[in-house]
Amino acid sequence: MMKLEPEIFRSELCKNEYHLYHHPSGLDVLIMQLPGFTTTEALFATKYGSVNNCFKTVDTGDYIKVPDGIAHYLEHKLFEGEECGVFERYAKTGAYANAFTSFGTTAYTFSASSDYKEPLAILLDFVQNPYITDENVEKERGIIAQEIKMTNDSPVRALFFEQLGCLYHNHPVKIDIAGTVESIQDITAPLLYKCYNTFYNLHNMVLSIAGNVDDETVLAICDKYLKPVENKQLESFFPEEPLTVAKPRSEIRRQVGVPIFSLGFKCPPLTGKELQRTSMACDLMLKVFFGSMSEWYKEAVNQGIINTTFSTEVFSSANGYFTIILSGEAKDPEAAYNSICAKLKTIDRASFDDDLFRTLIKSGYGSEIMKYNIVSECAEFMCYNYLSGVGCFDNLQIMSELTADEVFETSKLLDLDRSSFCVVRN
Amino acid sequence: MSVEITFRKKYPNGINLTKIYDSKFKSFGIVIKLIVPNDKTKVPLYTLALDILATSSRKYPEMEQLSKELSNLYSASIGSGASKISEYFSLSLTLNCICDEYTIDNEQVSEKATELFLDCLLDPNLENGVFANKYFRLCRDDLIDDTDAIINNKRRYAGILANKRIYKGENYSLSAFDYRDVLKNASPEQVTEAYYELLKKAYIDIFVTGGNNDDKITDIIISRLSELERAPFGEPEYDSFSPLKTEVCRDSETIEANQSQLIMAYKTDNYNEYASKLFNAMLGALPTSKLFMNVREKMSLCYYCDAMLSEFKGTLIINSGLDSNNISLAQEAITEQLEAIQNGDFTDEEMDNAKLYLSEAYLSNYDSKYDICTWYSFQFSHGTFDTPEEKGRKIKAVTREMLIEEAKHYKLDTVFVLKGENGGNDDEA
Repeated sequence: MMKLEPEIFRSELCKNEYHLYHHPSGLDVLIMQLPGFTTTEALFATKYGSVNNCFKTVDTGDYIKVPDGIAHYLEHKLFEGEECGVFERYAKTGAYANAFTSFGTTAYTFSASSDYKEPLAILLDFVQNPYITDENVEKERGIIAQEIKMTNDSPVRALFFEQLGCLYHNHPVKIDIAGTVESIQDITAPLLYKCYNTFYNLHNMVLSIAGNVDDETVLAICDKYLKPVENKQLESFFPEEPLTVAKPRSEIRRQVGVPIFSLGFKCPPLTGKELQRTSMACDLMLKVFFGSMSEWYKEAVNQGIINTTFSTEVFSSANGYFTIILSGEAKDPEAAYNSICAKLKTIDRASFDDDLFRTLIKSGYGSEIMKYNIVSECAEFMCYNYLSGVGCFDNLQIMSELTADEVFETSKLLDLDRSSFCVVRN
Repeated sequence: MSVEITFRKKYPNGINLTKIYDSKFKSFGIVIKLIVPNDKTKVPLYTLALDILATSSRKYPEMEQLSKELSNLYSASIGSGASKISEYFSLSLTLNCICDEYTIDNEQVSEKATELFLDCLLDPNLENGVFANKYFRLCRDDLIDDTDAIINNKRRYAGILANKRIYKGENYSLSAFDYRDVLKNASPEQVTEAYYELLKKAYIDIFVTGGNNDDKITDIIISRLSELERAPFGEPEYDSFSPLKTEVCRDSETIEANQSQLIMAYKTDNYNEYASKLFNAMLGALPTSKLFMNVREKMSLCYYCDAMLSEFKGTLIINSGLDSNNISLAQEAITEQLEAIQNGDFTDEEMDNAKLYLSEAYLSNYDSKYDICTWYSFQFSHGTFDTPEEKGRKIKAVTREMLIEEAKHYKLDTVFVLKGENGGNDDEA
């Protein structure tokens, strides 16, 4: 096999580097060597999650729509094998294997201590060789139904999806990743294969591995196990989504200790570096105005309007959604809402605390560096950033460039006319 | 391994300090564990005191001042924690801080962060000699809200209700719900008194862990703590096996939820650490375990059916989330799988794979500065000094006969069901 030359990414600040190889099979391979660490963590991921429920390739012709929850169902089914299950294969190596499905990604992972070679071979092999039958699809229905019921019993998760459902009219981000007990009834082996053959194409995937590894060994295993495939020109379809919200208010009932609220703001979607930069700026802006060091937070906590579970979040992706969420527990959610709204009316450039902004930049820098203490985070971070079309160390660069003015500008996204307020209470 | 225990020193005043240095980490941590008997009337006050300490200090009397100072130290953080260990309670205050060589222009932050952390513990924000009312109220209300919010997590909630039955009459059965009233009626004076008592009487175990090898850090800690007037409880004796009930306790409660929770507890009177760990792993702690392969994969009854060992109590607990109408079926299936191991119905390969998994998992402790701390903390509490490799060798030495013998000693003690009713999701617009 021809020797591949990597693209090298290095940060002098955190003293780490990683390598990106464009493997001839079509797969991109990310490797971060972490000297001194014992373990190795790998993710073999595809750009396929719950939002990719309508798609086409050169093979399918027109767009096809599949049942909700099918990406997650497929993740479960990939652990089947004709002779023995995937977990049984891993059991012989001592590695810990797992997988997850999110809105835009399905990833298969392992963590190994003494030896990563055999676990890596298993990972590459089983993800490329599905064994899905009518019988094993049927068997999984009960298991996934219980997983759905388990997550439905979480009021925090229920609130999150209620929030997304209120913000989005059509975008599939509002659909629970695992689907519903009803929607998974329509999932069949042929449909799973259709999704597999569409999204589990090496051109749509990435291998990210970090820890006690060396490039040569990883690439040799890739050479042996990766099967070159043709690029099928995959396209996902996302329905037209207006900037208005679907429902400005909602209240749902669950057995909760303290009511939980969520105020979400719908923002225009972004992609690539613009998405990354705006998300970071927005996150800093939220911390300046609503974070635990802000005047508003201090007052709201002192007055008992919120408690310390209050948090802010930028929930965004290149798959067409960008939202800002302020949430937490409150005995009187309406009072929390009114307090946030009152604060929003007073926000202007003069009220933006530049000193706090500088502190947050320094703090953010420290947090970034400390991520590289944890093998699993390194592998996940490389994978996540690659799938978002950006580099691992770009955060550090952006942080050094962001100005108070630029960060303040993102407060314009906190538009109450594009917001939705949701509450869970008894 | 690059990790090394630089030293562990026992000081005569019931304070131990262990330094675990590993150059690969870009940060370091200081964990101060204060261990006390699990007394229902005292523990909630101690817990509240620790939470208050993590909010402020005399030098930084406002929470946001402290937060800002920590943020300026490159996202250093101070946190408090509380957990049961057998019949004791471990309260901890933890500092996490970047190593100086990773700051911009090598700014020196380690010593500053250490002093600031110790100020929180030893020089708190007091008003007229008692904890400032503002943070007393804030932390108390947070603790009460946290307790009330336990019900949001059905699995955790069921675990607490089950523990009430499993460990009936033992302090280990106490939960946040038992501490709620004490907290509600507490005064700043009582909590301040509890704070001083904690510093005086707790058994103190300190860990300095991670990428900082500067002796100044440990010197500062020892110097500051030597100021304390101490009259500590004796060294904790953690092993306190829970007695098997003469008659199996079978009980249930109902909750508004889609799913029911089944919890089955088994107890042993003849605990062998390595054989028990292997038994637990083969029964229900691995994705190739008996419970996973049968109750989940073959019978499709649940998403999870896990076994967990409560080591100091000699108790093995199985829990599963499932439909109410499958509870009896699941109980039978769980019993059948447990009996299979007791009867030797497993292959050598199953046993060897479980041994390999456990010994490999032990090694992963080296890659987290806090996990390796927990590892050695656990070793010390057992009077041992085993490395992850040594522990792995001991697991591998367990024979088939030892495993079967160990499994046979586990007897059913409690079956608890938290029955989900009415779905709990009658949403309205």
